[in-house]
Amino acid sequence: MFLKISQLDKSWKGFSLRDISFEIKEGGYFTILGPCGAGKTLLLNAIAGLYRVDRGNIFLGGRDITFLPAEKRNIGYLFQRDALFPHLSVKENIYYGLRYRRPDMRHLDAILELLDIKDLLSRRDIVNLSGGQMRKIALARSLAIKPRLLLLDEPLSFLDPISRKNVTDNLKSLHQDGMTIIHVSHDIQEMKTFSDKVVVLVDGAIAQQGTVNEILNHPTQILTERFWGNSHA
Amino acid sequence: MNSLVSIFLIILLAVFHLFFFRSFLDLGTNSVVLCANALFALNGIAVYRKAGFHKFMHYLFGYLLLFIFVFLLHKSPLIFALFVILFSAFFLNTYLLVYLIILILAIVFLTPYWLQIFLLLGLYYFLCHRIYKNTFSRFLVTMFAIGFIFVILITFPILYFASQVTFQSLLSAAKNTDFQGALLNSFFTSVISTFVILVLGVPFAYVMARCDFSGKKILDNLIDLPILIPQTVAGIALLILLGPKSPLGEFMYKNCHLAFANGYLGIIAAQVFVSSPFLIRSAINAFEGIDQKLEDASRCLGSGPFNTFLRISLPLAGSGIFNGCILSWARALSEVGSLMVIAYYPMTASVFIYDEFIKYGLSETQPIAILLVTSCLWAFIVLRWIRYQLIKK
Repeated sequence: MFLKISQLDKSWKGFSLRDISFEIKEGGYFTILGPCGAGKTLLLNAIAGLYRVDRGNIFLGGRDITFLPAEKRNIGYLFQRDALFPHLSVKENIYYGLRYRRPDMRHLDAILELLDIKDLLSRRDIVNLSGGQMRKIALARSLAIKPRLLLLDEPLSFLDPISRKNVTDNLKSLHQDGMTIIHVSHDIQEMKTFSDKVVVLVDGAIAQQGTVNEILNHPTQILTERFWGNSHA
Repeated sequence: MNSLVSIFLIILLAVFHLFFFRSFLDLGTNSVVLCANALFALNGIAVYRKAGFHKFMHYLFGYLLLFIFVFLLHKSPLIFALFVILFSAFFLNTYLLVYLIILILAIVFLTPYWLQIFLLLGLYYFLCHRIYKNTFSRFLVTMFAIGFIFVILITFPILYFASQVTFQSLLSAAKNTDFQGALLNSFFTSVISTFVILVLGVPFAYVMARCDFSGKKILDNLIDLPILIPQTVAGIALLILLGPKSPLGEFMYKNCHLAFANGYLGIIAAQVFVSSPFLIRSAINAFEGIDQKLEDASRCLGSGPFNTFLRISLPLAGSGIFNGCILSWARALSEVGSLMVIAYYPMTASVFIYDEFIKYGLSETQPIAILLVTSCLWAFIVLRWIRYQLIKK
C-alpha cells in the first residue's frame, strides 16, 4: 500500500481523532467525507506533518514518516481558502517551494499548461485575483514541488460554478496522470464525481469506509443520522 | 416698495444711533456699529423673505446674544460690529456659521487662548463634519466627538507652549553646544537601545504568539512590567544590580572595563528596560495577526521553520514590528526618570532639559524643550512616513 495510516490518535484543543486506520493504493483518489467539525482538517494536517500525532503510525511508500517534519515529507497540500502568501507575487508564490529542490521546469510548464494560468504569472498582486484563479495558483504551488501525495482541503468550496467546473476538470486530469489524491469534503456530490474509495469521519472517528457504491447503498446508522439527516431518506 | 422699506429702516437706525448711542460711543465707533446694524437690518429682510419667520427669529436671537455677550459683557463695540457683519453674511450658510460661533466663543470666553482654541475647535468641527459627510452616521460622529476631547488634551498644551517662544530664542538655544551634545547622545543611545530590543524581543515575541506553554500568562504580564514600575524605581533597581559597588558591576569593570553607572551602557540599559514593552507587544500582535496556515503552507512546500520565519512570518509582521520600533525608540528618547538615577552624565537631551530647568527656571528651558520636541517630532514623522511607504509596497 502506498499510504498506510494505522491506529492514529491525536488530541488538539479539546478535540480528538481516535483510532484512525486506512490505506490508499498508489494513484488512487480517496475521499474523506464528514460533517463540519468532524476532524477532517486535523487528519490532513497530521498526514502533512504539521502536528505530531499522539499515537499510531503513518507510512508513505513503505517508509515510516510518523516523525518526519513537514518540510521533508514532500506532500502537496491545498489549504482551505488557499493560504496564498499575500506579500509575494503570483510567480513567487508558485516558485516558492522550488528553492529547496532541483527545479524541473518541464514539469512546472506542464502544470501551468494544465491549469491554464500561464498568463497570470506576470501579475504582481495576489489580493485582486478571483477565487478560481487563486485556487489554481495554490494548486500549482503545491504541485510545483512534484509531491508524492496531494492533500486537498475542500478544494471546491467558495467557488463560483464556472471555476468549480474548471477546478473539477483539473483535478480529474491530475488523477488520470497518476497523482495520488486525498480529497476532504462535506459534499456527497463531490464524492460521487471523483472517488474510488471513501472514509466517512464523524466526531473524530471513522464511521464507515469502503467504495462509493458501498457507502451509498449501505450507509450505517450513524452516517444516516449524523451526516445525511433526513434528506437521504 | 422694497427699496422704500430699506431706506426707511436705515434712516430709523441712523436716528436711533445718533441720539441714543452718542453719549457712550465716540463718533467713529458709532458709525461703524451703525454700518454693521444697517447691513444686519437689510440682510434681515432677505432672511425673512427667503427662510421664513421661524428662521428670522433665530436671526434676531443670534443678534441679541451677540449684543449681550460682546457689546455689554465684553465691552468691545468694534468687535461687536465685526461679528454682526460676519453673522449677517454667514447666517444662511450653517457650515460657516458654526465656525463663526466657535470664533466668537473663543474670543469672548477664552480670550488669552482664543487663537489656539479657535484652531483646535475649528479642526474639531471640520473633522466631525467630514465624518458625517462620509458615513451619515450620527453615532460615529458622537463617538468621534468624545474621542477628540482626548486629542485636544494632548495637543493643546504643546500647541500653546510652542506658540510662546520667539524664533530668536530658538536660534540661540540651537547654538548651545551642550544641548547639541545631549541631543546627539539621546539619538545615538535610543537607536542602539531599539536595536538591542529588536534583536532580543522579536524571537521572544514569535514564541509568545505561536506557542502555548504553562506559565505563558505570567510571562505575558511580565512583559508590561516596565510600564507599571515608576521610572525612578527602575533606575534604582538597575543601579543596585549594575552599579560600581554591586558584584556584577565590579566584575564587569574589572574584566571588561565596562561601567554602567554614569556611562553610555547605563543609559542604554535603562532605555532598554523602560521601552522594551512597546516593541515586544507590537511584535506579538503582529505575529498573532498572521494566519498560521501561511506558515503551514510554507512548511509543506519544503521550507524549514527558520526559513519559514524569514520568508513568511517576518515580512508579514514587518510593518507591525517597525511600528513597535518607532514606539520603543520614541519611549527611549523621552526617558528621563531612570536616567537621572543611573546615568546623569553623559547627559541625554531629556536630562539636560531637567538640569536647565533646575538651574535657570522656566523661561530658559522653554526654547530648548521646544527644539527637542520639534526634532523628535520630525524624526517620528519621517519614520512613520517610511512605514506607510513600506505598507503601500
